Amino acid sequence: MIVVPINFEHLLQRVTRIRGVVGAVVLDDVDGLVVAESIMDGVRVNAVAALTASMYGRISQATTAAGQGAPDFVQMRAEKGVLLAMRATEGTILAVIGDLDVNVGLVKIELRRVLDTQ
Amino acid sequence: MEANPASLSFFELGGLLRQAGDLTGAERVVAGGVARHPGYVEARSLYGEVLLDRGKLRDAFREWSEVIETEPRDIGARKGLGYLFYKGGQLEEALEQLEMALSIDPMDEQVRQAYSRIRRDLESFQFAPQAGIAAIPEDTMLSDPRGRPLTGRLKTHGRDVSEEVAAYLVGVSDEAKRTARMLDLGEWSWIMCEGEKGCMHVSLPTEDSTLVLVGEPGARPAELELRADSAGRMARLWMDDSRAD
Repeated sequence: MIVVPINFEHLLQRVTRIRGVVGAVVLDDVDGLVVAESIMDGVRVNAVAALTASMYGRISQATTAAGQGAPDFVQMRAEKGVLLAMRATEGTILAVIGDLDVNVGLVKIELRRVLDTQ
Repeated sequence: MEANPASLSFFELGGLLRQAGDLTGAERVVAGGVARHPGYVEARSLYGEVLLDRGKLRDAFREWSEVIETEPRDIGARKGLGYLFYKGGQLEEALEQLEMALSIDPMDEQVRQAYSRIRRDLESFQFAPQAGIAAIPEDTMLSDPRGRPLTGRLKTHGRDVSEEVAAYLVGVSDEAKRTARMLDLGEWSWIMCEGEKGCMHVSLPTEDSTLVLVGEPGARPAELELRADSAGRMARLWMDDSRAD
């Protein structure tokens, strides 16, 4: 359940301005429903959100089993790009799709900045 | 720069563009600068870093090799060459470069950590032929597509959690494959997770195995990535050895 009010549109605007970011979506971490989105045409945003939530959940099971608890940040690197999934607020995840040159550090910084100013 | 293209300020501008994530711009600016000022060693060392960021490993190697011919004590070039040798699996050559870097700055913590890590990897690797099988480093596990640990071990609070983690990794791998394809990203190559209690790196060294490494709290993701590269090579050897047996 989403308990922290936050201007997700502002967050998405800031993140999608970063060079290499193709799109971003904020999703509910339990059911993968879209909370807010700013994504490129042709990408099925609902599917992205559902798959990201599912993958984040699976990874959390593995990291928890390894004694690390749920991760704050996940990066999946693939042949043609990256998918970043990070805890935005309690109950939400920010998923970012980027190309191979995307500056992952900047995405993290923008998220932190936006959260700090809310 | 616009008013005076021959200015040495290309070095600072290139560094700023790189920090801002504009790697294409950084490459253009620094390449132009070093072409005009080939004797500016510090800039050529930066050019190597930009080339590495851009994934142009051979060009970066060439640039740094030329830098140390002119200035053997350029620590940036030594570190860069060490990283490239390590990436290429040439551990002894990597150590040699890092030893040079440490002789220049013995207090460079990044180099010290990388040096210790590669030494440990090299010791494991050298042990492999005597043991008849490649050794997998600590805090690392190789598992099969059915969720069974193959070699290595993961522990938390003294408890062996290898089987549990291996079981969950099957779901991670399947989900990552589906997600990458849905997003038209091609095949996934690795996943890095970071949290307050540590970080984890998951990759597929071969088609029929999953490799997982865990790092303690405070471990740098970049360091884990380097370890994963090295462990991946050993995992492939291990799989080859296992098949041969």
